[in-house]
Amino acid sequence: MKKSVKAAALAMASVTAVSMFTQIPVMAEENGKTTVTFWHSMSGENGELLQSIVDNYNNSQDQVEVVAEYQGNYYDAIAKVQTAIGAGNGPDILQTGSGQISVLAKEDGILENLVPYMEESGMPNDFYEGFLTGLSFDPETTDETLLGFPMGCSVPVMYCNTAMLEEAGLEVPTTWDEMMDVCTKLIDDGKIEYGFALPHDPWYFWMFIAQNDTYCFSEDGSTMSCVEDGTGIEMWEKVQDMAENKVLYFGPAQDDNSVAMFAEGKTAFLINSIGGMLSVDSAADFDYSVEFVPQEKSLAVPTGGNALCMLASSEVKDAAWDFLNWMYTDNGGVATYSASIGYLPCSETIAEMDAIQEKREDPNYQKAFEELDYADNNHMVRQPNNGDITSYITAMMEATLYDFEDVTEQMTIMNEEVTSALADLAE
Amino acid sequence: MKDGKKWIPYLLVAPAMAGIALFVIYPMVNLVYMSFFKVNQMNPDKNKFVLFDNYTKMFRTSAFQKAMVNTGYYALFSVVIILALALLLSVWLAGRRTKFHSFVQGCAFLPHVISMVSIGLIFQQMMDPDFGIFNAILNALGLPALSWLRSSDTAVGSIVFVNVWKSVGYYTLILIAAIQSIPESIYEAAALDNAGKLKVFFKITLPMISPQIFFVLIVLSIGSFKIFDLISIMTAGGPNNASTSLVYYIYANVFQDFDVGRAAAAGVVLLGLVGVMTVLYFVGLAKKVHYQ
Amino acid sequence: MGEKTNRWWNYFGYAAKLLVVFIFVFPFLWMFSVSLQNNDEITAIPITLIPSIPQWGNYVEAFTSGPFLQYLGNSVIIIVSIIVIQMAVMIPAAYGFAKYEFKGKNFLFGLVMLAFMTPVQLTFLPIYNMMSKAGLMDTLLPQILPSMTNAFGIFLLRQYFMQIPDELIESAKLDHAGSLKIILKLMLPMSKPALTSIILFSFVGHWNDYFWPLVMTASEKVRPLTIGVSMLKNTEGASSWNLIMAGNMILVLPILIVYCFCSKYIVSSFTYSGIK
Repeated sequence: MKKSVKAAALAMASVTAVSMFTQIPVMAEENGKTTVTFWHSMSGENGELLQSIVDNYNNSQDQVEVVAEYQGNYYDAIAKVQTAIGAGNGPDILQTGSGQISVLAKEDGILENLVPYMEESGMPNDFYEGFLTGLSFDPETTDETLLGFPMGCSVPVMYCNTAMLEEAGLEVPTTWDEMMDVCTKLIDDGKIEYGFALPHDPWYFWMFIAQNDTYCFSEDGSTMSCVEDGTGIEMWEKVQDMAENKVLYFGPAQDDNSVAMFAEGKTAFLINSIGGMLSVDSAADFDYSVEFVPQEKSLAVPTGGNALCMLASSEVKDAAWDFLNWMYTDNGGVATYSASIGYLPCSETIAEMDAIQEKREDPNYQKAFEELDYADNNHMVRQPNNGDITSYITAMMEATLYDFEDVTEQMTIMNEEVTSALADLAE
Repeated sequence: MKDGKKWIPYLLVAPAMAGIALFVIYPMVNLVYMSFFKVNQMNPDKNKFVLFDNYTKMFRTSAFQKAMVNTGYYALFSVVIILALALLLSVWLAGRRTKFHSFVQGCAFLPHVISMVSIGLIFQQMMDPDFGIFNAILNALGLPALSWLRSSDTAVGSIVFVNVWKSVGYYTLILIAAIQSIPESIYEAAALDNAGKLKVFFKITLPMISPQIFFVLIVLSIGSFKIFDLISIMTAGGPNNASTSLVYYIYANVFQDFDVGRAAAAGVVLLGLVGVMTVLYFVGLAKKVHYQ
Repeated sequence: MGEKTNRWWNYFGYAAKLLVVFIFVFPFLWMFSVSLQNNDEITAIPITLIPSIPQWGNYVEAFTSGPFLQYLGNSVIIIVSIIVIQMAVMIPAAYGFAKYEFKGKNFLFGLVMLAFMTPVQLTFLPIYNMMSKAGLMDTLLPQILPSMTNAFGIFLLRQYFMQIPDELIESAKLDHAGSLKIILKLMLPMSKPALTSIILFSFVGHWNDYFWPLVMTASEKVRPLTIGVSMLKNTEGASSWNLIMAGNMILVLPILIVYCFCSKYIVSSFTYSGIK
């Protein structure tokens, strides 16, 4: 009993000590600055980077203090933001995935239109069109309404193990058919286990479908026309064929190891976001290059990444805007953020900033930047609510690429469920 | 026990019941209410009354159907396998009380304290179909390799496997304690009768520890019923919803499909099942009292 | 059975027991090993079992990646508060359910069982709204208050109290002892093992909890260690598993220390013909 009394006393003492310790910095923040709450989804090294950018902003002036708070990954954060908004205590500024922002945008009066602010402070509206889908009610009116700014911008690219290709005397594949040939050769030679690695992400579904020169959704956005007209099925059968022949390695749902598969030489290629370049760089110890993803009928890539938005419920909009304005006009803001992680510049202004200019000397980064010309976000244009239905697409991808179920059957099931979910949303 | 003041027991349980009322009953009432609405989380004024719409639509989705079936699987297999293994291990380990044995028992508890993230990573790597150690072992034994978490056929089994590994030690400890508390004299009497080991087990050990087994059964079935963490960390319910459970389905509806009304409807179904289990518990208790 | 076969049988038993130990301990050792690996070793396929040069710096890096001291402080405050409150709520309730007959007892105990069986994924939304309307989101209370009633604890402790003979209580009453005194002087000392194991389980559960704190906190100053550790995961691309595992080792260490403290009680908590 004595021991436990001691332990309890010790615990209580440490609690008191620690609580005193933790109270002090909280108190010290009262210094007359306007506090802006900024929720984000950046963790790990990216989180540290974002924090240092925010710190730089806070130190650059004495009016506004931005408090950046991590809220879990994109999914956790968006679920939480909705609840917080409903309860009336959402943040002032939010960073969320570009696939998730539609969840907030579809509801009137949640996000602040940023165009008037831009006009007032003279910030140029020269964002690259490919990154604006989903940030406005209508792609035609991005000069009137923008419910958020693109922040971390990416496209899927192909990372190539050039050392291995050269040794085998093979060319970089530019179509999926060539990909099949090159990989089959390398596999037959025992050089690799799988051809290329593909992360577990519905993003690549949009990519494959758009490449078959077709639309994911019907014109009114109510059903998946790529299933009904068979073009999607045709494309996906090819994808499944690649998986069955071990040309495609589809990463696991959790703890995705597709980067490791490529970096360890178990695959010759990796299809991944350009935003993942840093981690490929630090993991791979051979010569690699960034190339356009292979194409089917045409080259088409979806864009992705994340966006920054201001909540209409914010009570400190001017202060919040001051931060946003700084992020997009100062080299230390989004430009530094993008260049450090490997994201593409989101606007012409930012593309000309020092941080990005320097980065563009890297041919791998420049390649991804050029691929931006092939951006195709028809899935977001025709169906802005696609963020709500990704679970059905993921289920289809798993059924066909892990279990090798029949593509027509699985895609038909997917279409039925997506159609009914979309009808629900539209009600 | 009789007591002059009738209000004393109510006073004793009042704080606990207040906590339950506030943090269990109220949320549940709220849940039932929400299940009849199409919920707009960001703008609660726009919640729309839809009666049973959430239910009828939910029953039609394949994810829900799979979640129901799987919840049954998880509960059944986890309970049967863990109980059987815990019994086996406890009979085996309870015999002697040496330092080595307490060391073994201490280690059995270790899986219980490791964080879920670590468990996720480690088993993900061990179960890797191409490079994992499990398939290497199967290979060495001349058995066919499995796809583990990456096939609908084996995902549930793989999660049950990890669940068994994680929980069996704890329940073994309970049963060891139970076996060790059986008076030596009873065994000595059995030894005089020349009873075989199996007979001793079935005629003495098992009946003597049946109260603890009943306890383990309750705690275990409730735990398996609530299975969520392992699914979320290892498969996210996949492939193709093959490993989803009712609790995971609820979570996914809130965090992925953003449909709180449907999540509430699924919650009500779970609530119904929990209610049935509560009743079963009291029936089981009544029976036990009867036999004593 | 001959002497010799018996001895071989003994060796075999030892080997088998070592195997059981290995199965339980191996993932833990692996976690420790990963926490000491360098960046090349963590991505190696097949995996690295033993790091070439242990990278103790990973621990420093993990710990300095955020305000870990603050996370640790929050975790400790949350855990101690939860356990103290749970004890104060649970002990009288268990005593009431074990030793009194009163109207509605079965119904109320049914509610306790219901609470025991209810997963938090069912209740977090209304509780979040409740806490946020009360303006408590910037405090530690949303992580403490909802756990005030430990239904499992009431369930286990009630079973335990029921074993204590009524005669003891009656004789204490003859000595004019009140309910409070009976609980403190008679029931508690006799149920120390059960209490210890309830505390341990509560400790492990809340210390490792990720879901609840993630949902119930919005700012760093109220976050516990689990969230800090989860923030070591990279948003884009591959994660530094060595840092994550170092973080998890830091996370699990206090539990191991507490476990060593009370491991001997855990087994005995179920012994005193404890549960019926």
